[in-house]
Amino acid sequence: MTKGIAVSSSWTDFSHSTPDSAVMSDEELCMAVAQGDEKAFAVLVDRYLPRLLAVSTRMLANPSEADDVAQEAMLRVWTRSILWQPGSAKFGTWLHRVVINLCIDRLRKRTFRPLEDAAEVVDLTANPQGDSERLQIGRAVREALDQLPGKQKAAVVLCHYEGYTGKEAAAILQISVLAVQSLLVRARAALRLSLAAYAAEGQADHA
Amino acid sequence: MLEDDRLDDLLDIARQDVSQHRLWAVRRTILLNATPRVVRRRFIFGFHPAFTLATVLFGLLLGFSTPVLVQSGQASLSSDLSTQAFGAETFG
Repeated sequence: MTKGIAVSSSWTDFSHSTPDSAVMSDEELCMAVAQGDEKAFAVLVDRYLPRLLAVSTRMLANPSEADDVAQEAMLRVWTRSILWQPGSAKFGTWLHRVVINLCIDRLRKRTFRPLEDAAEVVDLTANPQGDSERLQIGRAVREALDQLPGKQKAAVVLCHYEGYTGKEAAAILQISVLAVQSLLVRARAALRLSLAAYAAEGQADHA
Repeated sequence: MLEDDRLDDLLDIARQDVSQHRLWAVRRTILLNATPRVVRRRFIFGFHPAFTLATVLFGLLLGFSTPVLVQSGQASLSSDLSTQAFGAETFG
């Protein structure tokens, strides 16, 4: 993971850095957090938040829900770091697993689509034709991703968007590498089908 | 059906980056919410330890000070009585 990020010296002052904390390993930082070290926690937040937020945003396709999940995961580090055992899993893997599980829980509980998920109205007068098409394709792909079951979506997000290897994704999802490959194959097949159908509709509209 | 490369292209088009402003806001919220943990207090007979300590100290203070006050009161009383006796002798 990213190392050497500038760290705040006081609790909410982000302007200074403490190099000692920045070069510590995740495990050392986690143990320091368990002792109530606020600076160590800030370093962990700097190190992992960008990636966790990206994962939760892609999983949930809803920025406010994604923010909540990322916050909840990081606050779990703060409150439950005492329970984390260094030998059981890498800290980053464990943290990603927390985020993925929180996202899957939220996806299962969703009974209706929040208003924020409603498709944005594309202002064709403000955007050139090319941008408009990209927006439409982006929206179609996100909708197709939303139709996937939670685990398949997680596999696509981790392997395609976040660039994790099958082994790393397997560790995060707590399944075998073969199972990850199987999820990816099924997800891609479903995406091909959904997006091919959309493309056919688009062509029909243009015709 | 879409080719693999074409599907990857489509997935890349849908890639959404998290803005720096949003990242900063979430980071700030997390750090503000992660308040220093409160030390778990052990309640004594169901009372807050500070209340129990204050009660004990007050009791001790009262216990030690009562004899002094009583003695002081007795001394004051005897002094008053002797004054009254002196007055009675003088003006009586």
